[in-house]
Amino acid sequence: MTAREKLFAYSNIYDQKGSEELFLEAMRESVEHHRAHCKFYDKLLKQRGYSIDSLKSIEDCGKIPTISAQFFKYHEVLSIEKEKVKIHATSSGTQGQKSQIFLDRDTLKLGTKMIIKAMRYHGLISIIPTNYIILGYEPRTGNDMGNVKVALGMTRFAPAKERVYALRAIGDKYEIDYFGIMDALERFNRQKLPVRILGFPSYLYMLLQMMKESGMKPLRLNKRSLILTGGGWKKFDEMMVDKEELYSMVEELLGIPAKNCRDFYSAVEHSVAYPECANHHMHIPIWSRVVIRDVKSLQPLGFDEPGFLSFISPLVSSVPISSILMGDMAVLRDGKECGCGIDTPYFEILGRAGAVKLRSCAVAASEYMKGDQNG
Amino acid sequence: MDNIFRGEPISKEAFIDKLDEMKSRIEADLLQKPLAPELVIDAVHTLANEINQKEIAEQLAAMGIPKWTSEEYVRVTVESLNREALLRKVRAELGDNPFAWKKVDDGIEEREYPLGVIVHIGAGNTLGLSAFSVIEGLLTGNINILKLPENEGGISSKLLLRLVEIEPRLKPYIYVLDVSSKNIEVISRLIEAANSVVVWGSDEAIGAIRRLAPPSLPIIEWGHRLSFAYFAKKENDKEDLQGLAKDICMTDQLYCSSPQCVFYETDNSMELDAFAARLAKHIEAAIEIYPSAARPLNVQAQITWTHELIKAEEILGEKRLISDGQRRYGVMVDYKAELKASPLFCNIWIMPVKREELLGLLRAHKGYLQTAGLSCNRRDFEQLSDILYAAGINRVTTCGNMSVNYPGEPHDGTYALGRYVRRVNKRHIQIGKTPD
Repeated sequence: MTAREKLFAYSNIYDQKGSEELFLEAMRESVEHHRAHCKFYDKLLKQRGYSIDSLKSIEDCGKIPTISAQFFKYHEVLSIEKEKVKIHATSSGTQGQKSQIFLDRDTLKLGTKMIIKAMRYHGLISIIPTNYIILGYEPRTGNDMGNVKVALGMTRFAPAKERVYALRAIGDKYEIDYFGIMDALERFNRQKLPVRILGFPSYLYMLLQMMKESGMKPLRLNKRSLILTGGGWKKFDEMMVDKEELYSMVEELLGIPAKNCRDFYSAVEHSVAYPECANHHMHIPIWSRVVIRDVKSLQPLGFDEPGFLSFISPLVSSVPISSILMGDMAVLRDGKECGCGIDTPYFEILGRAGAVKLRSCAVAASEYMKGDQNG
Repeated sequence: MDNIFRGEPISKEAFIDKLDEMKSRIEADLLQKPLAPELVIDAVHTLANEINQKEIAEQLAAMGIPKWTSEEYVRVTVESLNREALLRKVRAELGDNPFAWKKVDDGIEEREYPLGVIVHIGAGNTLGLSAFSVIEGLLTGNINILKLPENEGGISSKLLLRLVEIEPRLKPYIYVLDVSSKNIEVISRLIEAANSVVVWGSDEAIGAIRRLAPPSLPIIEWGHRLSFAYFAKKENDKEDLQGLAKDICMTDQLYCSSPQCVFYETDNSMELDAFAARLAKHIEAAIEIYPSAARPLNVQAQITWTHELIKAEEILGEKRLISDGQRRYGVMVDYKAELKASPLFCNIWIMPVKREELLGLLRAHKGYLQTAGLSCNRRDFEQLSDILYAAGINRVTTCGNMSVNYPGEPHDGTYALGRYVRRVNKRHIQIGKTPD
């Protein structure tokens, strides 16, 4: 059994201290695996003069050469043979180049274990029949967006009585079917079974707004109902509200307690999922370390200092993302302040790198010529 | 208070309440004798001479624009508003004796006439630009309704209020409303009153107005533009490289006319690398004279983000980055040519190009082209600038002068004032009638 496999079999998913040696060994395996199987990665390590011999402590993880997530939008760089790719998932970006990831059987196996453990830890697995509202795309052939697969997978944690989709395929386009969802919600309200609402927070917000504006009577859904959101606000950034406001709308209009609202951070290029704790913080599990990097030097920063979000994890063996630099700006907080019982650090997303509003006319012109590069 | 109703300061709410009154006021004012350009020129000249250049330059600097750029911008703007410059502008753009009847044939006469009411949709990226747009509307005798851009900081309203203080006869011609672009209801009401809408800014802003405006309403669009430098082989291009480095560093590449890319005429990547290294040396020197303004976190992040992608692609042999340890500048070599924006602040793309491919390369972005800084031998200048004009470029300059303007210079290939007037005519002798 490799250290990586042992790490993903480790029982307490937030015991970073106890699993530290395992994590370090798994990281050495990961870097060595990519070096040996990916020419690009080998060259990168040589160019940066990096060797795994220098990977001795957790702090050393920040020194593993990091690759920016956008690189993988434009380049298909693999650490496995192409035939071994089981899943090619793309981001939900509607404009510009989409993010993508190639996953092999090994990664999928460990990833599945990881998500089941995380769901179990947070008490999100249930055997009571549940009605689902999926605020995302209806699955159909030819759609390889990661979140479609994720959403479908997320309906397996409680037996599905019915699944209703918000974005329905009409010809070759998708349309948001708010009235269909509102009807379904009323029906589910009468059925009294738990309801799980999954999908983008932006669509959840728009749905709640719609319910409010149409004068729909607030629902009292089963108290075991859950809201599981993920994927961020994307092109709806402008209408973004903070979590407190969103969750209080959920309590008011759906009758689901705020502690049952859990947002997940996940990125196509990283694949580790970060569910919120009951206090709505995304703590870092044993499978990864988060480094916030200085926007100029890329050097790791301490708690509460804003910079680039960067993930270090041995999860993915198919693409050389042992260390990846995300396009998000974030801060890391000391987990001991949270009070939920998990004491690992947690991170907060501040926004996208370079989301500067039209500083120059030339930049604006270029953005419109090409579509949003970060989309 | 940033809002102005028929020359008087007013609150936003009160303005919106008076939209019906605006309609009847405008209808009465349209029957008045059109404004004479001289009246406007005198008032603007007085205003320009009392502008506190230092104060405005400081406001610009506070917005993150380098000090010398701000000072230069304010100096040039004020200069373009003095009597001589404005007279030259009016004469160049509207001809001699504008608004006077001119004989075309026996019994036939023509003259310029204001469009009537112009709604100006301001853009936020240039301070005071909105006031300038209104001044152009005044010079052509129009009634102007300005929708202020967001984050404008009140400077346009301040200037326009001072202008009507100097010349109260301008009052009926000025309305300013600080309303959000999202308030479609109010903007639609403003547009209803317009003979034409002038839109400054992004494709998004222009697209929104196009959707809002009825087909009968002409839209005058001043959109965002991209500029670049073009280097053909030349015996000695040191001076041009020096000039280009100045164009890059002095403006932090914030203007439409600032270079985003340099196309170097070669098909040899070693030659391109050598050229990039020479430019980097000149930028390093220029940066000492014109250091970049302090960069906000987001701006620096965007630069680093671009650099990191290039560094990874360098391994694949696709691109190359020349920079210093502090990322004060970036010479970013892309072996595949494409017109695109740089992350600004002394970051410039260098790409190889063959002359025969230039037209196609640029034409792909034809609606966005503005200035080309050209470096070549004298005998090539004519041929190259012809290709550039054919591709859609409007300004060809030497390197070092890309963002230098002259009074009365056409804006994006046209004279603005000519677009703010129409030509009316009359035939006052009966012809073809047999005499008794």
